[in-house]
Formats: sequence, C-alpha cells, structure tokens
Amino acid sequence: MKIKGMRIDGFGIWRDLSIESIPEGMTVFFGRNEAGKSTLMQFIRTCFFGFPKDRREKYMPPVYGGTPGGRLQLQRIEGPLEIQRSLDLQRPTDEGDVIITTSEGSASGQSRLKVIMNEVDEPIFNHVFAIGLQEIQELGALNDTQAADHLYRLTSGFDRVSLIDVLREIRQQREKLVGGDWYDPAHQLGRLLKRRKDLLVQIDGLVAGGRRWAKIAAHAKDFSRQLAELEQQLATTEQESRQVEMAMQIADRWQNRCVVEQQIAAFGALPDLALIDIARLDQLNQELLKQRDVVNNQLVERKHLRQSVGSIPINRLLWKNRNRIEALGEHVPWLESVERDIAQLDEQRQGAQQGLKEVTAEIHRSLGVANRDSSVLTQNTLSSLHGVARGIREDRDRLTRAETEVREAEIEVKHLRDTLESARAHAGVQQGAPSTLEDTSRLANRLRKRTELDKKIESLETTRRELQRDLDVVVENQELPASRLLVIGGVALAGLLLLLFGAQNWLSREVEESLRPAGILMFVMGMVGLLFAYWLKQSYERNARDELNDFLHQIELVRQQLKRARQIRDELDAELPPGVTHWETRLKEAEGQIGKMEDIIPLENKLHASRQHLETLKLKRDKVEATLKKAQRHWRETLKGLHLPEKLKPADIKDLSRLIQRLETWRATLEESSQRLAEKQNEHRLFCARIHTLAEETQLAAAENNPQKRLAELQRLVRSQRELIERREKLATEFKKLRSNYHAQRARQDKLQASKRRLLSAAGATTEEQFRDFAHQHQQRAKLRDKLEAIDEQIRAALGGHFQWDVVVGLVQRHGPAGLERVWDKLVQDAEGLKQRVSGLTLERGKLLQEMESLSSNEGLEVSRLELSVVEQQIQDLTRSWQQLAVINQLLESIREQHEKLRQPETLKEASKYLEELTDGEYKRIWTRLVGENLFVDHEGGQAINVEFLSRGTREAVFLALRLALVSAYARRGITLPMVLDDVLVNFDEERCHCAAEVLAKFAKTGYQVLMFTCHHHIHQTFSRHGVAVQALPHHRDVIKTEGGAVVKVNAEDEWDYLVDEPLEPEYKDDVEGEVAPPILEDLVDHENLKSEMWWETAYEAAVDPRNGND
Amino acid sequence: MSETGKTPSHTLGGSGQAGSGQAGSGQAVQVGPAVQVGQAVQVGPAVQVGPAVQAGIAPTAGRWEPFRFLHASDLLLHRPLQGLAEFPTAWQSVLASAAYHSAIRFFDAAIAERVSFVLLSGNVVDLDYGGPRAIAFLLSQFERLGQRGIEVYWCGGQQDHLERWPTAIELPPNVRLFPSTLVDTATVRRQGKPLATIYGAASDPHRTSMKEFQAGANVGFPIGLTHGSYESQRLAGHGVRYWALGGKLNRELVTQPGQIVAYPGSHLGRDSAAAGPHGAILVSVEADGQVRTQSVDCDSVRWLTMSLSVAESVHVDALKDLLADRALQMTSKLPDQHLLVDWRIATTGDYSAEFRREENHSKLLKWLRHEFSSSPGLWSVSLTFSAPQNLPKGWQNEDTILGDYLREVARYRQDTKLPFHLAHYSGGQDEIDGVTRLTRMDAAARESVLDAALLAGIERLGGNQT
Repeated sequence: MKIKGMRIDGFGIWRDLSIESIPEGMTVFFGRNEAGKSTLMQFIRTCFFGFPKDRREKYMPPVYGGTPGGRLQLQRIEGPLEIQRSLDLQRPTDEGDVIITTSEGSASGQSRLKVIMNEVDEPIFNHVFAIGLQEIQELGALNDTQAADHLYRLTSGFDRVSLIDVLREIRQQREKLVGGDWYDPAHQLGRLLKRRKDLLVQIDGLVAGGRRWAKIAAHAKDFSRQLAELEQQLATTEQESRQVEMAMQIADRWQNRCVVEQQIAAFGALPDLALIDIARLDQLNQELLKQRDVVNNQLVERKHLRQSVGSIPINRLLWKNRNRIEALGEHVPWLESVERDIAQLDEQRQGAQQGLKEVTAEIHRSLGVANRDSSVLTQNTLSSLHGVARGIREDRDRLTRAETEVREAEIEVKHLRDTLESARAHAGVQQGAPSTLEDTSRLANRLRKRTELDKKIESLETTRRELQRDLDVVVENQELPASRLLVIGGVALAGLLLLLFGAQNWLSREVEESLRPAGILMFVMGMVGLLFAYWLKQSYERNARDELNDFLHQIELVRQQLKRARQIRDELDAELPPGVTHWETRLKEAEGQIGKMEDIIPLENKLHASRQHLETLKLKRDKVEATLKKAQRHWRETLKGLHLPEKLKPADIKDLSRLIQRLETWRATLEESSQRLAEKQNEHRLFCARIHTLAEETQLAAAENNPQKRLAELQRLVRSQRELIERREKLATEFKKLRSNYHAQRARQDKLQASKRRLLSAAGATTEEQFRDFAHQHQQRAKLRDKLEAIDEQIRAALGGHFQWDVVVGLVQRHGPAGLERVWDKLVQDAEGLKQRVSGLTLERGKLLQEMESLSSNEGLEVSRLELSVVEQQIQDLTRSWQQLAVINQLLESIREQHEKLRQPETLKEASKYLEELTDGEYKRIWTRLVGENLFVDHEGGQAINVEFLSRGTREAVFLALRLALVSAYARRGITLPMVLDDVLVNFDEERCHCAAEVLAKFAKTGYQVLMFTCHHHIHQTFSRHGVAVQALPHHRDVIKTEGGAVVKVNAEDEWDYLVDEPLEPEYKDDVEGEVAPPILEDLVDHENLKSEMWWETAYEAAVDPRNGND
Repeated sequence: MSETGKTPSHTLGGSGQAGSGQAGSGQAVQVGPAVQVGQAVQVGPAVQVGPAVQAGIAPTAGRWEPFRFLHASDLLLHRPLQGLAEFPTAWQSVLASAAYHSAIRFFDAAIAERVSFVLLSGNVVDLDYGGPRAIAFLLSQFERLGQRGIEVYWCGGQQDHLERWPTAIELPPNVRLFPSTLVDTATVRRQGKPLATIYGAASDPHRTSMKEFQAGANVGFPIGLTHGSYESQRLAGHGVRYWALGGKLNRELVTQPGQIVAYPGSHLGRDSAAAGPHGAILVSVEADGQVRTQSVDCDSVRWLTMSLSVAESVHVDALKDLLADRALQMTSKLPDQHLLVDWRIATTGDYSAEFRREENHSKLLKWLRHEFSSSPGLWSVSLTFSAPQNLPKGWQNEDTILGDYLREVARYRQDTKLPFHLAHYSGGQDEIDGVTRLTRMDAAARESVLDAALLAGIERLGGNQT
C-alpha cells in the first residue's frame, strides 16, 4: 500500500493543504522548523488510526479553522482508494468518522480499514514503520550497554512491545516474588517464610503456655487443697483458743458453784416437794370438822319420816291385782266386737251350705248320674285329663296336615310323570333302549371300551408279530459273526505267537541273556492277548444271550397282555346287548342318545325327587295316625281311672271344670265361716271366765252378775287405793333421799380422813409434825438451788451462743485456772504460725490464679494463628502470582525461541546487508550468539565487536539497518505500509548521510514507499542528488492565505528555495514534539573515538567474538 | 443473594441501554450502560433462629415428653479463619476470636431457648493446641449452662481427644463426655422419667457397624451422638430417631421416615468455601411424636460470595455505584456481623482494555475496603473478574507477538497434557515448608492460571494500547 496524495481540511496548523502525486518510492519532505512536518506525519497517522485523546488535544480544533480531518489517497494492488477521516468536535471519539472509498465508488468504514492496514495498529506502526527523531535521541541518550540491549530487542520480537522487554519485566517480577534462595528475605517469599517461621515459633510458645496453664492449674488446685486444710486447722486452733479464754473467765464462778452443790448435797434424800403440800393438809383438817356436824343433823330427820309412813291404811290384795283389773277393763270394747262377729259368721255359714247343695245337684246332672259322691271331683283330677285332651287335639291336627301334603305330592308326581313321558316321546327314545341317562352312559362306555380293546388287541398282535420276526434275527445272531470271529481270532493268534516267541526267547538256552527280558515281555504280552481274546469272545456271547432273553421276555409280556385283552373283550361282549356286530355304529348311536337324554335329565331328577318326597310324606302320615290312636286309648284309660263315664268327650271337660271350680269355692266358704264362728265363741267364753275369777280372788262381795258391771266395780276400788299408795310413796321417797344424803355425807367424811392419811404417808411422814418438818427442809434446799441456777446463768451468759458448756467446763475441770493460762498461750502461738502459712499459700495461689487468668484471657494465640493464616494465604497468593508469571514466561520464551529460530536470522541477514551499505562496507555483518542477548557486528577487518562498544553513529546505522530489516520482514509476511522517517539522519556525517540516502533510495526502489521528513538542507540535497523526490512544504500561513488552499506537487524544486530564508514563525509554538530543532548533532566525539586507535584496541579486547578469539 | 447468602447473583450491563435505576431485591436495575440486580441479602439478627422444619417422624413413631435441645459440632476453637491475605487492623481481635464470639452466641442461644440439654458432636477444640483460653472458655460456658440446669453431652471427634482433657481441671457436673469409641449410654430424666437416651461414642474412622447404637425400649427419645460421616442407609433401622453427627463444616440435614440425620456444620464459616450462615440446630420434640428442627445462626463473622454480572463496556463509576449498593445492602441487613465478601464479577460483551486494566481493579478493591471496613462492617476479601467472553477478532490471527501469545495460550488450553516446566524457574525446588507447592498445579488451578496469564499477557504485550 502506498500513499498517492493527501488532502488536509483542517488539522493542527494545516488547513486546506493538498499534496498530490506522491511517488511510490521515496519522498523527502523538506521544511524548516515549525513548518508543520510533524503535523503532517500525525495527519497520516490520524488517517490510518484515528484521533486518540492526546492527538485530539494537540491538533484539534484546527488552528486556522476548517473541517477537522482530511483525506488520504492510497494505491493498492487491488486499485486506488481514499481514506477520509473527520472528527465531530461536538462529540469527539477516538475513531472519528472514517469513510473508505474505492475507485468504483463503494464506501466502507473502520473494519475495512483494519483489513487494508493488515491489522497493523498504531503501536506496531510506530515501532516498525515510523522512525522518529525522538527514538534516535533516546538511543543516543542510552549508555553503551543499554543501547546494545536496545538494538538487540529489535532482532528478537518487536512490534507493539519488545519481547525481550516483556520477558525481562516478567523475570524481574518473578524474582521479586521468589528468589533463587527461597528464604532470602530480599524477596517477598523469603520475607513471608521468615514471618511464618517466626509465627510458628510464637504459636509453639503459646501452645506450650497451654501446657503450662494446665500445670499451674494443678498447682493451684494443690494449693487450694492445702489452703483449705490449713484454714480448717487455723479455725480449729482459734476456736480452741477462744474456748480456753472463756474457761479462764468462768473459772471463779465455777468454784462457787461447786460449793453450793456440796451444800445442796448435804440435805440428802428428801421426799419430793410436790408431795409435801402444807396448804392441803390445813384444808383437809378444816373440811373434816364441818362434815361431822352435817352427819349428826341428818340422823334426826330420818327418825321423823319413818313415823309418818306407818300411819297410812293399804288393801294389799286389791292393790296386787290392780294391773289385771285395769287390763280387763281395757278389753271391754273388744268384747263387744266379738259378740257382733259371732252373729255375722253364723249367718254366713248358713248361706254357704245352701250354695254347695245347688252346685252338687248341677254336677250330677251334667255327668248324668245321681247320688254320686262329688267330693272326688277336683281341679287336680281334671288337670290330668287336660294334657291327654290337648295331645289328642294336636295329633288330630298333624294328621290332617299330613294327609293334605300327601295329596299335593301325589298330584305333583302325576304331573311330572306326564311331562317326562311327553319329553321322552319328543326326544325319540326307543322302546327297549336304556331309558335313563345313566344306563345309556354305561352302555356307551362299554361300547367305547370294546372298540378300544379291538384296537389294542390288533396293536398287540402286530407287536407280537414284529417281536417274533426280530427274535428270529436274534436267534441267528447267537452265533458269532465272521467279522467278530476274525477280530477275536486275530487277537488270539497274535497273543499265541507272542507267547510262543517270548517263551522261546525266555526259556531257550540258545538265546542271549540280553534278549531274555524282551522274551519275558513278549510272553506276558502274548498271555494278555490270549486272555483279551477269550474275554472278547465271552463278552460277545453274553451280550447275544442277554439280547435273546430280552426278546423272549418281551414276547411273553405281549402274549399275556393279548390274552388279558381278549378275556376282557369277551366279558364286555357278555354284558352288551346281543346281536350287535358294528360296535362303532352302536357307540355313535349311544353317544347321540346321551346327547338327547341330557336334555331331559333335569325332569327325571325332579320326578325322582318328587317320588321320594311322596314316599316320605306317606310314612309321616302313617306315623301321625298311629300316634292319634294311641292318644285316644290313653284318654279312655284315664277316664276309667277317674271313675268317669267313658262317653265323656275331651270337649266336655271344660264345662265340668267350671262346675267343679264353683263347688270348691262354696266348700271353702263354708269351712272358713264355721271355723271362724267357733273361734269367736271360744274367745267370748274365756274372757267372761277371767272376770269372774278376778272378782273371787279380790274377796270382795259381788254386787252384780253381769261380767261387765262387776268389772266396772273393781276398777273403781282400784282407783281409790291408788291415791293412798301414792301418798305413802312420796313419804318413802323423802326418807330414801334423806338416807342417801346421810350416807353420802358420811362417805365424804371418811374420804377426807383417808386423804389426810395418804398425804402424810406419801411424804413418808408418820405424823403431821414430821410432814411439816419436811416442808421446811425443802424451802432451805430450794434457796440453794436458786443460787446455783444464778451462777449457771452467769456462766451461760459468759459462754453466749458460741461456746459449748461441756467443752468449756471440761477445760476448766481438766486444766484448772493455772493450767488454762498455759494452754491459752500455746494455742495463740499455734494460731499465729498457721496464719502466716495461710497467708503465704494464699499469696502463692493468687499468683498462680493471676497467671492462669492472664494466660486464659490472652488472645495472643488466636491472633498469631490468624496472622499465620494470613501469611499462608499470602504465600498461596504469591504462589499463584508466581505461577502466572512463570506460565507467561514459558509461553513467551517459547514464542521468542520460535522467533529467534525462524525470523531473527533472516532479519539479521537483511540488516547486515543494509549496515554494510550504510557504513560503506566497514561493517559486514550483524549477528548474535545462540545463548545470551548480545549483538555483534563484524568489522571489515574480521573482528567481531559487541554493539555495546560501537560509536553512537554506528549504533544509529545499526538501528536504521535493523528497522529497515524489520520493515522487510513485515513485507515478507505481506504487510507493506509506507515508512515514515523523521530526520533520522541528523547524526550522520556527510559521507554516511550519502550512504544512507543511497540505501534508502535503493530500499524504496525495491517496492517500499518511504516518506522522510527533514529540516536539514544538506539532507534533502543529498537525497535530491540520489534522485529522490523532494517536497518542500509550504508555510502554513501561505496555505491559509491562498484561496482554496495550497497544492503541493512533488519535485517542485522551484518552490522550496523561498523556505530557506523565511524567518521563524512565533505562533503555534506548542507544536514542538519532535519538531523542535535539535541541537547541532555533530557527533564529532564519536567519530573521533571511532577513528582513535586506542578506542579500537579497547573495543577489540572487550568485544571480540569468542568464535574468532582463537584467530 | 440466595437464601443461604452464598451465591448472590447480579448483573451489570450487557444490554447496552443507558439509564439509571434503583437497586432492589429481585429487580432489574440499570446503571450506566445497563445494570441488573439480583436478589436481596439475607437479613438476620446476631443469633437468628430459622423457621421450624417438621421432620418426617410420624406421630406413630413414639410418644415422648415434649422437650428441646440444641445440637452443634465442629466449633474448632483452635482453628483460625482462612483465606485472608489482608484485614483491617481494627478487625484483628474480632477475627482472631471469631470462633469464641460465635461460640458465646451458641451458648446464649441454648440459655435463651431454655433447652433441656446441649449436644456437641466432636471437634470442639483440639485440646493439645487450643491453649488455656479454650479450656477456660469451655469451663465458664459449661458452668453457665449448669447454673440453668442445662446438661452438656460431648463426644470426641477427630481433633478433640477428650481423654486428654487436663486431669487437674474438673468438668462441671452437668457435663458428660463420651471419650471412647465404644458406645456409651446416658439417660436424660425429667421428674424421674426418661426424657431421652443418648447413645454416644467418639469418632471412629474404622467403625463398620452401627449395631452398637441399637436403641432400647422405653428409653424416651433415642438419640445417636457421634462424629463422622455416615450414609443414611447405614444409620437406619437402629431405632435411633435423631442422629447428632459432626465432621462436616456446612450444615446438612437428611430427613427420613423414622429418623433425622443432622450435621449442624461448624458454627462459623472459616473460609470462602463455607460462605453463608452457620450455627447450630434447635430440635423440638413434641408430645405427639413430631420432631421439628430449626437452624440457629451463631456466626459473628460471615463469609459471603457476591456475584455480579457487568458489561465490559461499563464505566468504572457505574461499577462502583453497583458495588456500593450491594455492600450497603449487606451491611444494613446484617448489621451485627462482620462480613467477609468475595466479589466475583462476570463480564459480558467484547474485551475492553480500559475495563481490564489491572491497576483499575486494584484501585477498586482498595476503594471498597476503605469505604466499608468499619467495625462491624464489610471487608472485601477479593475482587475477581472472569475471563472476557470475547477477545478482539483480529488478535488471534495477527502476526504479532500478541497473536503468537494468544495462539500459544489457546494451544495449552486445548491440549491439557502440554506441561508447564515451572521447576525450570523455581530452581528445581517445589515445596515451601509444607505450605504450598510452587510448581504443582491441578487441572482447576491450571485453568485459572491460564485465564490470569491470558489477561496479564494481553496487558503486557500491548493489547491495551490498541
């Protein structure tokens, strides 16, 4: 692809600039500083790659207006096309608006441009196809080593980036992570591993702290146990000390108490104080005095009362019978009632006698007899007849039902018989043939069996004939066949021969000894052969015999089966109807008849069942009839037994029963009224007799005979006697009361006397004086006891609730006041010692607990573990990062290897050619070693010089050669783009500039378009001398002033002269990048160095190629 | 964010529509080019009791006295949080003692819920490495429970060998240990009647039969207490109604007819693999034979994984807004907890050099950490971006170092047997003090490293200059 022309509508300082007819080869654009060369170069890049931000900011909007953008006319093998790129300043984008227009007029966009550019983006274009003054300056600014390295990069992968640079960066990053010594703290991994190690040690220490904690806990537990024991001991000692102290305090009181106790003991055994009650004794004496006066008064009153009772008169006989009289008097109403009942019962008895007479007469009439004793006729008598009559009635009913059922069954049998007859007639059953299905089936079976027998007999006959035939063959085979005889004979003959031959060799003396074993062997084999032949013959014969016997046995079996079958056939013939010859025909007829008869089988079964039912009913009827007769006979016998007329029917029993019931009712009424009348009359008589007897017993004169009146008189006398008796009883009651009171008072007097005696005796006193002396002693002893109690109370108050009486008193008793002092001193000393030990142990335990608390609350272990986890994660992350870098490294190394293998030699070869031309044959070849990243050049003298030791100018020549070779390498891959050079020859001297112009011109002639921008007059002159087209750029001010813009044509030699003297324009000084006029790049020093012998010697020694070292 | 708070999913960008919106639960929101916001973050107090789940034990399974108990395992008091490469200084104490703080919440829950007893299914603490703090802590908490009449049943796990409990330290009387691998029995009684019987044994990796756990008759509610992972089928048919197991770091509950197999998981998520709530299981045994389980969240520090989806073309400010929105949602809904968040951002659309600039990612993470790392608050542990869906089409084919590199990466991706000779760069060494193996990568690590290497290579080879 080549640029044919361009049109800048507005870009930086350019507006409406057209450059036409740019040649396909090399073109030099000449313009002085700030003439707009760099802007022009940037415009070309913009057309290719758009408006990135930095370019937009620098060149947009156009200084002198105009539409931002422009067009680039290109020539490709496929034909011409134009790239038009513009920028909308309102909506600026990196790409802007791009239109690709072909000569045919078709338009396309950015994607088409990428294809046209062979996917070469701006970085690649800048690094390969564009060489700027800045790069030359940078190369010059590098030191020797860096410059050599920079040049080497161009040979080993270089487009957007340098493969070498990337690999070095990755290696650096990788080594920053992991060094050769992993534990080197200069590297990240080393630092992490060290930190990890430290943490592990720290964690081990903290974990060991855990074990220490357990030990401390054990110690603390032990201390606690000891402390508890000591505290217990101390508490005991202190308690004892206090007890002793207390014992000391109460010792005096205790002594007093002992004296009082002795005084109390001196009283000895006195009676119980409760028994010595002086007040009671005084009270008893006073009561006894009063009681004696009361007793004497009551004796006088008793005497007076006894006299008053004796003066009252009493009839004792009458008073004795008073209860009987009063009881009889109470029965007077009853007596009147009995008399009324007697009259009523008498009347009732007479009525019953009359009714009995009438019913008896009626019974006689109903039985048809006269003067019969009706007393034998009772309900019990008739009840025996009831059961017999009921049985006769039931039997008669059953007989009637049985006769009805028999009649109905007979009618049904007759109906079924008629139906069956008509069905048979309809089925065509012949006369003489079996009439039932069973018979017909039996006949058919026999016929079937007869037919099968015929077949079986025939089959057996056939079998017998075949066996007979085979038997003949077997009999013939009893003699051995020739073939078998031949085999047996052969075996026997061979055996015989071996036997004989062997015997000869064995027994003959003429035979050598060495052959004897063979002879023995043959003899034995001969014997075996003979025996085998014999066994073979016997075996054949035995088989033949067995076979014959089998056949004979089978024939006998068949014969017996045949005989049996014939016998059965004859038996069947006898059972079958005579005259039948065609058994099968008859069998078919029978089977047909069975088929028909199967239809009337239900009728037959039904008829049969009905007949059986009829017979059953008849039997039942006869049975009932017999039962009835038996019942009637029993009826008659029963009547006879009851002496009743035999003509009596069961139906008459009901009327007779009713009459007898009435008769029995009258009889019962008569008997009851007679009995009750007699009872009443007896009761009346007895009562009157009792009144009479009582009157006689009282010996009073009878004024009346009437019992009731006599009884009334007696009652009056009793009432008057009662009044007297009551008065006497009242007096007697008073006497009794008086007597009772006397006895009570007398008993009370005795009781008081006894109480006084008991009181004295209970106290053990015989006299009242002795009793009173006991009381006095008790008073004395109680006072002493009170005193003792007061002392005890004082002691208790001193003890309080903290000390036990027995313990403290025990101490006083045990040690005495003097001993207690000594004991107390010792205990106090012991307690002090214990307190000191407790204090020490508490302190020790506190320290341990403090340490335990400190250890258990310390989260240092967790923090360390977390930190360890973090470090390990960082190591993991580092590992992953390192692996990424290592992977990238390996992949890029692989690419680099391929590149150095396939592309580097070609590039170096081509670069060598350009370098030789650029240095006018002074340097022949550029090469590199298989290992390492050093670039060497061969001097024309044969020395190999490391690029590091070349002069700056030569290094720039190498650089230019390598870049040209890179462009060639891209061209070989089909990517041909215009090469843009920006004053790359400024550091070349005239001679080398001439060579360079020649090389570039020649390079362009080989098909590469080269656009070179320069501000140096000598350079464009040099190129011009080599026939390179030179384009002098117009001043942008003139372009603006020209209406319609400036049109620049290549080789417009007449137009560039004015540019030489044009003064510098002050405006738009920002456009300086790469455009500022460089200082005069006279590389005199380098040239001089190059020519210096000393330099050569140094360079040679330092950089001679080892391959040539031996030369 | 899902119910468990484990994998929240949000999307940002993608449709290319411009606009702004309010982030909300389950609602599509557009920020910048386009924003989609997923579900809300789970809300919860310090100790959150989850909803009751009725277990599958039929009412006919038995008749028991109603009671409740709390089941926990794998407290691992000695194990620190993992996966943190950095944390704010102010959080040091909280993070270092997270296991203790969470354990206090667990014991508080036991008291607050007035349970009859507490089951600890092993791995409470390594007694050799837990240090004095762990033992003193357990003693004090056990005594707290004992003062309230709550018994503790603790079986040994793989790490807590109970026979190594310091002999000098006496356990409170309300604590019953099962240090042996042989099955021992303890009966919990209420007014003399058996409430539950616990068949407990320490962890036994060689245990082949569960016959020893055969429950007897009239023993109350039968509970199997041990440590280890067992298949549910092996546990069936022994008459045990509730298997209190331990050994799994995440909660797992298998309900079967007639029995419940429960792994409460650790009471604290130790790393990002254990994201979401952690705690204990509250079990209620009803009089009608029903058994209900409730999750009780006790963790004082919680890992969360927040997944977002954004377009490559999204502006960094829009991404910041979305991250801030999500962070505020999480902190406002879990105000009592220290949150450790892994941000995982998946991208849609073509590769964007600006979006993929590593320094931008570092700045973003730094900003997140600076903005939300109050205590309690949210600490962004990591901010990872997925590999871009599409690279520029021409790169793969271009004849440049970048093109060569991409083709090389693709070759290594395609042929997973192609080796990386990392030992060449490590000087032949591999293992670092048992911490990591420098030159070894498994398949997942290889894929991850290749993803990262791809992006790093693109940036280094000038891909971001285009």
